[in-house]
Amino acid sequence: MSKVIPGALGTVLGRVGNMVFYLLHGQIVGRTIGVVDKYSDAQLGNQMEFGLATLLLNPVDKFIRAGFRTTPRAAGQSFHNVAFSLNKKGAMTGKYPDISIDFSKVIFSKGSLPLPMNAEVKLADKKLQFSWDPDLENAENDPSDQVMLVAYFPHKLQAMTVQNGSLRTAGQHEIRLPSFKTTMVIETYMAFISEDRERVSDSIYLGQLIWDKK
Amino acid sequence: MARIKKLDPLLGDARGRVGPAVLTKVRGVPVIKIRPSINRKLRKKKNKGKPESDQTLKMGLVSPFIRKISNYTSIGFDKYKTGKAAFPSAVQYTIKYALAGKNPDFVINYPEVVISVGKREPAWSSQILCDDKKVVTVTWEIPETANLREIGNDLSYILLYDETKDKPLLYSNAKTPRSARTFSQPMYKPSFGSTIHAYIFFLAPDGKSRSRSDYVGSVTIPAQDKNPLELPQETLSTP
Repeated sequence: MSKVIPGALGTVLGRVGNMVFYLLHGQIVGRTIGVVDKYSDAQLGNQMEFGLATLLLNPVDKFIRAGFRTTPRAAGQSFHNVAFSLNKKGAMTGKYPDISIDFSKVIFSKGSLPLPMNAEVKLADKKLQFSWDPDLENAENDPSDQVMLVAYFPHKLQAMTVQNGSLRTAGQHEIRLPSFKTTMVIETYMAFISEDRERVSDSIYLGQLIWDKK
Repeated sequence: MARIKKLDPLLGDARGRVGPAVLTKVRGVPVIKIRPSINRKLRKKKNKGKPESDQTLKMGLVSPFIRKISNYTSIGFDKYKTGKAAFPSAVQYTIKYALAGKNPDFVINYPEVVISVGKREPAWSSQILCDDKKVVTVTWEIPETANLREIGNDLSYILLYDETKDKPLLYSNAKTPRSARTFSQPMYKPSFGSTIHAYIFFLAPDGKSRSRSDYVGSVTIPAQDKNPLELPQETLSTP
């Protein structure tokens, strides 16, 4: 995609041959348009990664809104662009047509707060029990920080997210799970956010849990 | 295809066929187009006896199915793709993801059918039950992480589809809010003995966002109880 800078000949908007020019985030951009007969494997791979990244991020929209709100980004980019870019490049594994999401590399927030210490998760009594070490010796950590949690269900393409969980000093937070009908795989993540919502930690992957009805 | 201006004194309100041209409306816009050059009758005669192509069979199976449930797919697939109407989007989606079997035995895989796509909070842990009084109840849950104030007033759209009779049995038509968590409907005689598939999705009260549909499950409505008076004498128990 090219950027068009208005010059002596004025501004081009609309379609010229197989090129189309339009406004995107305040900039005039141009790209080719039309029906493509055949895609290369690399192009198909890119399309597949695009689709997977969309499916990954749609259910956690509110979480990444908080998680990437303060992440440095180029002008005109949104929190979603940052999250999409990081995960499409970093969290996909395999070659087309066997591309899949590597959930251990997925990032749902990025910031300057220190990473959660000794964080872990357990599944007990239909609840996800998250725990962590408050680590208040670290001057960067504040007792008023709140935990942010994600329980992602890849088979259902759904997620449960907590953007304003327990205080850092509490050391634990529980999420009651819905009563699933079948065995369910759960991918879990944790991050912290400051009280004023201006600072956030990177999210960390806590592992995969399997919920079984039996 | 050419558009017709309403002010055109010659073709302004014309509809129908004029020689090789057809005047009609496409999504509310009056258009004029040339009749297709394909002679369908001749083509059908020519291909008689030959096996039908995969795509023909799939379209023949999916198009009538989507047409029957288009009350909901027109909401669920509205503006799904820019410049594409809801109906072809729903057909395309169903052919891609909800067909099973091989030529010529394609069948609709009902659990994989999607009647709505969207980002809003979906239905969690939905279930369908049929009690002794032949009342079908659909239930769903709201996870504790969801904001009930934000999504509690969402309108629920529940579809009960009768697989046995191959037609929709009920559209709940947004009468129940999401916060109700349950929806009940008594079944009547024509549905007895049928297998019912249930789907659910939610629409924001302002209609601007919707959830992905969830396949609730299926249930078979018990056949009608026989009147004891109609039973043969030997089957009646004696005191």
